[in-house]
Amino acid sequence: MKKSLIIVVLIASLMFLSSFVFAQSNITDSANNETSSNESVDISNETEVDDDTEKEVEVMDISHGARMRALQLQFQIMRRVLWGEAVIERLGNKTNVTTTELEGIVEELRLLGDEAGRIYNNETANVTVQHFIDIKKDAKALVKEFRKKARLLLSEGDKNALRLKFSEIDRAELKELHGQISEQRRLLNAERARRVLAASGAENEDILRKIKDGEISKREALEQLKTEIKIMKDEEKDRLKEKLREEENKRRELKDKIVSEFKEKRLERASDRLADRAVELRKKGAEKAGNVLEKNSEALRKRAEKVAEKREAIRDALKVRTANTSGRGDSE
Amino acid sequence: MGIKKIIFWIVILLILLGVVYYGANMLGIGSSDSQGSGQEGVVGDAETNSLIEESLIDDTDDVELGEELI
Repeated sequence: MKKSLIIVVLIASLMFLSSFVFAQSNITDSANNETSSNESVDISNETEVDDDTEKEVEVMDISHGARMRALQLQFQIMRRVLWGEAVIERLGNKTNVTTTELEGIVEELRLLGDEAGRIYNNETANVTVQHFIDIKKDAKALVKEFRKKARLLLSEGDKNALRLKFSEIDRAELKELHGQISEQRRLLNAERARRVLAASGAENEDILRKIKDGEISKREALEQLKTEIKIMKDEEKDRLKEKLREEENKRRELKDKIVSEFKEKRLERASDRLADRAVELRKKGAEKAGNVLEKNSEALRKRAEKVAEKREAIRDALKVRTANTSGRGDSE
Repeated sequence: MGIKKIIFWIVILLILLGVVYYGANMLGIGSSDSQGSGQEGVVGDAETNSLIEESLIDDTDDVELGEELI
């Protein structure tokens, strides 16, 4: 009896321990995954698409979603352009501080903001999404570059004063864009709600109208949708679940396809985009050089040179990749 | 009832609890993923509910441009 009791106690203890270890290992795994994904975001890899961006492009299968993302990107870029100008203005009051490089970065960001504003025309979904990711990647790199340079020139006092100024800029200058984003978000939600209703076989134009007009919040819209669905029979609910699952899978598959297509030709596109931006910056610099009151034509010219240098670096990387690929092909 | 019997039943109970806990872990029951949103008006199982809720996007949903400027 004693021996069997000891064995049973041992088994029980092992089971408890293993279940805790199992649970703990899940937590550790997810923590590791988060760490590695954060690290991959930090590495400046031209072809990498971060988790945030992957999630953002999922709504771009609907035209209102694509428009909303384009406007949001424009909003975020223009916000940083205005912040950047405020930083340059503050630094301009200091002696022995040169802001030429910062001015060049802000001008390049402005070009990206304008590009984001034009992103959605009649392009196909794939092109729009790739365009969105291209602009976002370029803008993120520029923000990082600006931050690195600006932080060396700003004191803590400057930063605090600027943060106060940034909040005022957000409220005033970007109000119109904010309104357009809200409108596209409402239209996107109305379209999504229409699809849920269609999948459940229900019709309720009133809910859709209220969502479009902004009369009800997301929470209220969900409650009203659920009220429609609650009265359905169990089999109908099962069919609805299947349809919603299918739609979600389709969205994810489309997103995966677009992201992998993005990676394939990113370097080529990055090179072309940099060439275009170098031309644009030179053009702007030349225009401003004619005006004696404009101080930043030099900044634009220098930035154009830097952009052209970056383009050369990407072209070199492309050549290496092509050589490696053909080398592997030959050996096979 | 002797002390041995009490220990025996406690151990059996522990084993059962272990099995239930392990099984629940494997099935993901009780994990944060499977818990509802906490909102009222659940219309079916957790998956249907979450599919419906995820169909609409939040006002706070935005493009993430990474670091701040300063």
